[in-house]
Amino acid sequence: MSGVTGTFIPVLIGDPGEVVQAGPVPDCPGNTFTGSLTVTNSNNVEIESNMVGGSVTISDSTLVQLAGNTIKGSAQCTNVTSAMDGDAAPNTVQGSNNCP
Amino acid sequence: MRRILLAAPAAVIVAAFVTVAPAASAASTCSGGVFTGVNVSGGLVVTGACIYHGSTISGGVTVTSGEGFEIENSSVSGGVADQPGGEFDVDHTLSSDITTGNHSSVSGGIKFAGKDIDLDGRPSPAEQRSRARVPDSSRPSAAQRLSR
Repeated sequence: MSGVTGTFIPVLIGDPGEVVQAGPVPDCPGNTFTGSLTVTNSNNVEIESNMVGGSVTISDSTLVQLAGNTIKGSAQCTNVTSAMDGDAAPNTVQGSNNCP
Repeated sequence: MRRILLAAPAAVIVAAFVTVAPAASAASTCSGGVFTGVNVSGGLVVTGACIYHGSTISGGVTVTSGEGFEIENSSVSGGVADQPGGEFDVDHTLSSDITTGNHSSVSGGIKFAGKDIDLDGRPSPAEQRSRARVPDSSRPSAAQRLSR
């Protein structure tokens, strides 16, 4: 890891796929992740309602919830067992996507 | 003798540099606790259960094996990486299934090979309730309802 000058991004309110939208804030993701997200050999993975600037790669993991995210890169899942809860919304992926 | 006198100050200078330089570049270590409004620069090594609210951490974060790192309303730059068995939660409490709705940002990427990762951008339950309410201005007035 190299040091990078931080930029604080204030609160973003939102939940993609929310049935009812009220107020002036448009439907937008909650957390912002710049760069890529790589998860391996994990057994409880919840990635929900976020903005991911890079690609998402998940491999060899179980109980994976990947839902409601806006992913600027691709989403690649290998040897993944998904576990969706009742409020799961689809992801918006700009690149290729083979995740369940 | 003169040579010794010249060498002695040089040795002191070198010793001071060797002593100071690593401390200036070393990452901070969190062995556990809840922190609010702190700024960490130069990186952070997590060796306990560490929760940061409204904080800024730069230089990257390493979560050591079996330990937990949670951020709320915070920003991390330099990325987050963990050692096997670690936990990383964003807007989600450690070792639970509770969404907080305190959104955060991480730049520099995330590399996780741990036990549990929760990147939870959903609004908190209270936020969901307030957003689900349709504002009065968007509801039809009594006159509008009667005219229908």
